[in-house]
Amino acid sequence: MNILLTDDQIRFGESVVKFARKELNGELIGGDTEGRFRLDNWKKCSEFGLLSLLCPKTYGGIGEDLMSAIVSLQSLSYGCRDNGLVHAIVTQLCCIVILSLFGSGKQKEKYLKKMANGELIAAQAITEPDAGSDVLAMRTKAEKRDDRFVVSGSKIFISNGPLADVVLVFAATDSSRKMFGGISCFIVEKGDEGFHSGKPLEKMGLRTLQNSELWFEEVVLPPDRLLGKEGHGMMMFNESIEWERVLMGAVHIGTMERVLERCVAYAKSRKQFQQEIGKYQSVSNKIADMKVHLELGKLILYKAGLLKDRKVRAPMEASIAKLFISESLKNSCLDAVQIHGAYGYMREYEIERELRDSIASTIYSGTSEIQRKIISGLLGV
Amino acid sequence: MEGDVLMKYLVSELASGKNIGTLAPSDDLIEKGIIDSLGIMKLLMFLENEYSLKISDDELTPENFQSHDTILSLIDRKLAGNGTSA
Repeated sequence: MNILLTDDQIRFGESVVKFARKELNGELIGGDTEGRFRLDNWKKCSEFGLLSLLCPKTYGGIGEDLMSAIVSLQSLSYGCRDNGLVHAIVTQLCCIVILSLFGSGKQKEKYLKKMANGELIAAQAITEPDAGSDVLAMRTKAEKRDDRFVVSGSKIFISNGPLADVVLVFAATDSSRKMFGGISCFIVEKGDEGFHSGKPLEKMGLRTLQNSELWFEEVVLPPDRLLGKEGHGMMMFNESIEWERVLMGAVHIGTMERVLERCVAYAKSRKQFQQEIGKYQSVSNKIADMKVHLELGKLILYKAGLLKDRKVRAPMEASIAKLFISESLKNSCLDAVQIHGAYGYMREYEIERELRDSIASTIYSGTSEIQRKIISGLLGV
Repeated sequence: MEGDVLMKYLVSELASGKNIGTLAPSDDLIEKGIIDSLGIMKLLMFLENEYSLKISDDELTPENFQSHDTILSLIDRKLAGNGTSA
């Protein structure tokens, strides 16, 4: 029994699981080896409505609240074993949220509908070679020349970067203003002169997700490519990262649930020394810990979602959820490999891929170290 | 009165450990590095709890959070029920 979700949310979640299992799990090992993004599956997700979850109805979306989106994403990653594809979808949703919150009517009209139906792929460009955790040390700048902005610099590790038709680029517009007030956000389009994206970067995990460097060589942008107001980039970044931490948390919860179920099934079917391995406490304790972390992760995630749906700021809850769930996911996957023994180490069993995919979760959207810094900082320490 | 509470919070919580020296009501909090990405989150939580305010995204402008005086002015406008953006 679920006391926090509505019947509609549960029903839609079930339909997402069914869809994902039927449509999205083909050729995963080959896709992982080659680092291949499944554009056909992206389109299927779009047709199912997953890309339009958080897009307002006015602009062709479903206009769900955050809790409903959380349940949908949790269900998607529970049913879909292509973690890279799910990550790409979350990236798209975050861009849709930022455009919905801060875009002008014309910008929403121009981009949102096509992003919600998957026609345009979007990326957010924040991280730079020397500005990772220290995100506001960014060097990419946008100089104002007459009424235009000229963007120069580079970004790195950008999810959806090689595929992106639209990139939300954060750049310094006023170095004298330091962080608050000195950063702005711009919409750069594929085809803008001076904008280049690199080849997909080779990664340890999430190999089907496409990440790349982006270069901006004096990209001249008209005034209507400024998103929000000049100098408001940091507030937009704070809002964006809060959404991202919650949405990615939903994805990780779904993965944890899927991995846990595989471990339970394996522990009940695999026999050693004439008994199921689950009868050994060294195995059952691991499974119990996985369940504890899954259930507690759901609670803090839903708290963050419910607060944000009530328009209450939730930086503390978002950071606790990000920290707890990503660390739990990584530990669960490590335990899952151990429970499966040598089979867990084999690519064919797809458990080792879950582990490789999970490692990055404690790094992107703010490392676990940064989450601890935020949490203690908000407590005044 | 509200100004005293706010100044006390800025000095003891946000400027603490940052070698700021003294803080005048008109000092630029952004220039002095008192309000940074974490500082703005802390300040928003403080304002919303202390004064029972709801600060909208539209009001999250550098102009509103430039100094003790501009924050106080935002609080006054909000409490008077006519405050939106600066």
